[in-house]
Amino acid sequence: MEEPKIIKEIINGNAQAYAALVDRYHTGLIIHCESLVNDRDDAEDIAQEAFIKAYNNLSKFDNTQSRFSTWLYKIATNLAIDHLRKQKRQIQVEDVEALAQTTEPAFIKNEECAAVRQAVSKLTPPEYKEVIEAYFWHGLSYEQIAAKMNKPTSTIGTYIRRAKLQLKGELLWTK
Amino acid sequence: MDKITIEQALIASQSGSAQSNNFTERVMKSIKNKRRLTLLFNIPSKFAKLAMTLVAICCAALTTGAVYAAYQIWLAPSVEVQPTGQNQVLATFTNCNTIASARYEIRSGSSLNSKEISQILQARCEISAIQTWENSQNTNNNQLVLESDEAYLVTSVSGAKISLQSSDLNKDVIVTNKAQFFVNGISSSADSIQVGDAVFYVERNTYNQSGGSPTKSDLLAIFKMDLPVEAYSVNKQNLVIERTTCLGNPDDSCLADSASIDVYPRGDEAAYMANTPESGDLYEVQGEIVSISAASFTLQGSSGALYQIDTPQNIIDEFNKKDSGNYGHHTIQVGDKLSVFYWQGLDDDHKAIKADQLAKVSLLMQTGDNKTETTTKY
Repeated sequence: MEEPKIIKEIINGNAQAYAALVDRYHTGLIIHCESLVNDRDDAEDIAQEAFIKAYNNLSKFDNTQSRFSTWLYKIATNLAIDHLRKQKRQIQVEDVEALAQTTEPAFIKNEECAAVRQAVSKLTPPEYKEVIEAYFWHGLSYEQIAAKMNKPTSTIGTYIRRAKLQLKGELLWTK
Repeated sequence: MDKITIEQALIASQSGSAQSNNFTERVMKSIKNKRRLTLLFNIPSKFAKLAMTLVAICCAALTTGAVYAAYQIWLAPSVEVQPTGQNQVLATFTNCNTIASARYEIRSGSSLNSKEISQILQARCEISAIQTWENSQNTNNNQLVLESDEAYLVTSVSGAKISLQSSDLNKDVIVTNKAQFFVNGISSSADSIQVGDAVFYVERNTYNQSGGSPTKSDLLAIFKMDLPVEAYSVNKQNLVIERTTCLGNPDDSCLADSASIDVYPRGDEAAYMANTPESGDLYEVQGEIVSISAASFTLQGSSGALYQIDTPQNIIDEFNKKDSGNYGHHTIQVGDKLSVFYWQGLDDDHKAIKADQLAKVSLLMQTGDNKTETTTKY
């Protein structure tokens, strides 16, 4: 079912239809939150709260002004800022917002999508491909990937950093 | 346009759903749990009427030594169905939220009679009423969960223990003095529950901070239902599918929810996103394929109207040759039913869809009428 129809269904009382939107966006949203608060568990909690808040305010969402995902990510970013404040971390809101932009939802063309997938498939060593797919596409945490690959968690971080560097070299339209 | 980051590109290239369904489940449970009573009045459709019926209608009665006010949380719904041909019925509802009437399609090959169809739809009204009650009971930190989408059969009642059975689960619930009982929506007492009854139950779950499985579950309410347990089963419910007006094409009707296989773009959310224009509205049609050519196909909608759909490439041939093997070797032929979404402006011809207006094409499928049956083309 397509997004405007899903949203219409939810507003009309079919709460269960919201699961499709959660399924669609949760992996990216958790990564987004993780990049802001630097903790996977906190990121999942914030992402969950963002989905709930978005749900409770869905009737106020205007899909002619923005996409649902853009709105959802904005809610999550604000929750992350609140979370960092509660932890009494010294933060500059502008810094967090700038950081937030690096993982905000983007809309890419079919051919760009195909290029990304091809570049990932060519990553060497093959472990780089495995970690990128697991983290960005399958929604696993560093710890889960580490357990699956029988490697230390820090190694997974290193693999992902190196893989991203390789991908940037291949996909020159990214930064 | 600014360059996007590699992280954004990777996330946008995600194909299909991620594996962590637990997260979705957790969010959906929280949503059900955290909705407040006040929210009922902010939702204009189904909930308002039931909120108003949440009023004590009877005086106090004396049962098991405790005084309680009998009250009714839903008025007994009734449904009349009228066959309209082509395996469809028009259902007229009384006391079913705010639904007055709706059109339904009966799965071909099923042998449901009018009474069974009425019961299946009445069951839907009652399940919806329970969900509404559940929502109304939530306060900030409650974790209420209506367990299962289908009713349980009571298999034994022994002291405080009630044993329940669904199509795939056996479950014992322990009755405490906090548990409430309802018979056909009217408050009742524990002794109203008997072996052979069809029931739903609602628990209050307690979770630790990291989520996961509940650390504690307390029975909050048991609802004894009006109909035989089969009427509430997923198998039966799957046989009756609502037909609604197609988005933007009010003369044609579309299945409100149906299993499907993505034909174009192929299973790729990012590709769908890429097809989303900055302006225009989303339109929808479902219909039978009457012709296929290399760069287009024609569908006949439920009204008989023809829709000419141009495609960016020969998407049907490509699906049949490259992708069908991954989907039970179903191929697409003339006579099959497709769902098509497309983006157009108000002044466009909504029955002539250009290739660059196409958002999504899916092959309509139907799930089996029991859990082991294979999915087939609609």
